Amino acid sequence: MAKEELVAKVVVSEKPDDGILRLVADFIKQRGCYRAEYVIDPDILGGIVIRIGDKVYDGSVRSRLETVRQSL
Amino acid sequence: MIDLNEIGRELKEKISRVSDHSQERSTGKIVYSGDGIIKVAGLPGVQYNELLEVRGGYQALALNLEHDSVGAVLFSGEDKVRFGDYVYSTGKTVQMQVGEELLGRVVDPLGAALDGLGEIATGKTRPVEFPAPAIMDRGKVNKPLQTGILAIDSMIPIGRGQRELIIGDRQTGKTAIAVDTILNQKGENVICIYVSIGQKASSLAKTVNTLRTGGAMEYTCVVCSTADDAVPMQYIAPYSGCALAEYFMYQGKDVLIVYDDLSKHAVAYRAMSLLLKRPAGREAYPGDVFYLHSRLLERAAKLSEAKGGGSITALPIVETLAGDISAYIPTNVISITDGQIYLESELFNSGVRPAVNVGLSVSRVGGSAQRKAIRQISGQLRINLAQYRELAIFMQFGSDLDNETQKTLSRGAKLTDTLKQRQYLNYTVKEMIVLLVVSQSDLIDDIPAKKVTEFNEGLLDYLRINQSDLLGAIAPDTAVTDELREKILAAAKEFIDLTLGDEEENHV
Repeated sequence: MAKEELVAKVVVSEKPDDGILRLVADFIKQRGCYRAEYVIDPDILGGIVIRIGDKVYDGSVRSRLETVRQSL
Repeated sequence: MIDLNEIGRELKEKISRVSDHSQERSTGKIVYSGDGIIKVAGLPGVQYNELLEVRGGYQALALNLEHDSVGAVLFSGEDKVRFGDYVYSTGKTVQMQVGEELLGRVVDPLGAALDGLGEIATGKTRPVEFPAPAIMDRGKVNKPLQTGILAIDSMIPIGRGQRELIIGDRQTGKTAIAVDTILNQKGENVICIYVSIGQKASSLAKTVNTLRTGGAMEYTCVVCSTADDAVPMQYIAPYSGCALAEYFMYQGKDVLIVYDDLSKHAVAYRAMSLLLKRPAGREAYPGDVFYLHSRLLERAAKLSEAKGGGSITALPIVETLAGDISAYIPTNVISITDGQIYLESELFNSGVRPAVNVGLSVSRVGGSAQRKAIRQISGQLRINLAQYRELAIFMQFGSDLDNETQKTLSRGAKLTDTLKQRQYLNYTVKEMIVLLVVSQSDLIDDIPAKKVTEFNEGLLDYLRINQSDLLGAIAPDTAVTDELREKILAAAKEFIDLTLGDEEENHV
């Protein structure tokens, strides 16, 4: 059976522009993934969250604020 | 005045120190949830005992790493997590908040305040699971830890760095001994930690209140997990308490830690293990229940001088059922600790309080730490009591007794009475020396039977008021000289004449 194709789930706070799309494509390609699905979720406040398989790369404003809150 | 610029600068500095690049974290999805247990598919690279974060901010502890899933226990949010929720690894183990600020407080097993006296933020943490001090880092137990209880300090002495089990049925005064010991550490420079594991909130409130009114909270921290807390909280509570104790020990301080009680801890661990589908062994406890307690109690130690000389003295409490000390958990903990104080309900109900069974209680290392004077005059005590008990059993067969036997019996009964002590009424070492000298002299024949406890309390009051220089002259670290013995006996004789004289007048 063919291996299921890896799809990256990308969460952004607003509609991404072409620059971001290119950056994301490069980023996921380095990690062996060639397709991305975009979800727009204003709850992350800003930044980007990329999930590839079992790995998550959280660069959202929400998680950064959370780290700041914990460190204070 | 609060300087706003100062605050602003500090905030800026702290925020700038927070790393701003996103990290790679591994994730998984919940594929099973029930009874506070979750199974997570995914989570590559997760470690045993790693803290996990469930979507929604709930924390869990990874305990079973299996072929296709990870079994974890939830600290909170048992009824909030949903099937398919994402779970993130954190790369951290459970941490306990530590610091001097915790003294005088009641906290949960993660170091958060429970007493409503304001949040605690020390900025310092220690891992809850931590390796015990190595062999070469340990020193010899050489300083006593005074419980203030005559029966214990004279015959079952506890040294700083020792692990002494308090074992007995329910309602035999196990907690009372621990609380008395904490109260007696006032001015002794010992930090106390009371860990409550799966106890009723009402009894815990009572204990905290006792400590507070006794002025013991100044140097005490209560780490608390009550019966309604999540099972994992009860499971980590003793390790958290120990992490806090280690924080002080590695600073060179002496710490006393009470685990109340380890049988409930074992029950909590059993519940967790069974729900995680680990194989059940004897009494349905999992195979590693011995290691559960041995790794905890090994962390109690006396450090060598090179390592600062600090110590953790552990008083674990184990509850037995119907006096059965050969059950699984009691035998385990007995074999781990350096001795046990065995309390019996029969003794308790017949008025011997503390209900210490002197025959079954031992202290394997405390003897070398005992104060010299106490060691000298209590040496004979255990033997005398054993002889008395033997005779007392024999006497039940009912036969005419000669005078000598009758005398031994009456002395033995009075000696037993001397060891009775009211709760919260701790004796100092000097007072103990007085009582031990008097109770083992011929004077004891003059004290009316059944009035020994009263007499002892009266005698100590009398000495404190009228003969304070005599009490002052007693040196606990040197042998009791004949001269001192005579002086003590003379003072006691004086008191006997005084009280017995009164009584005769009353009779007229």
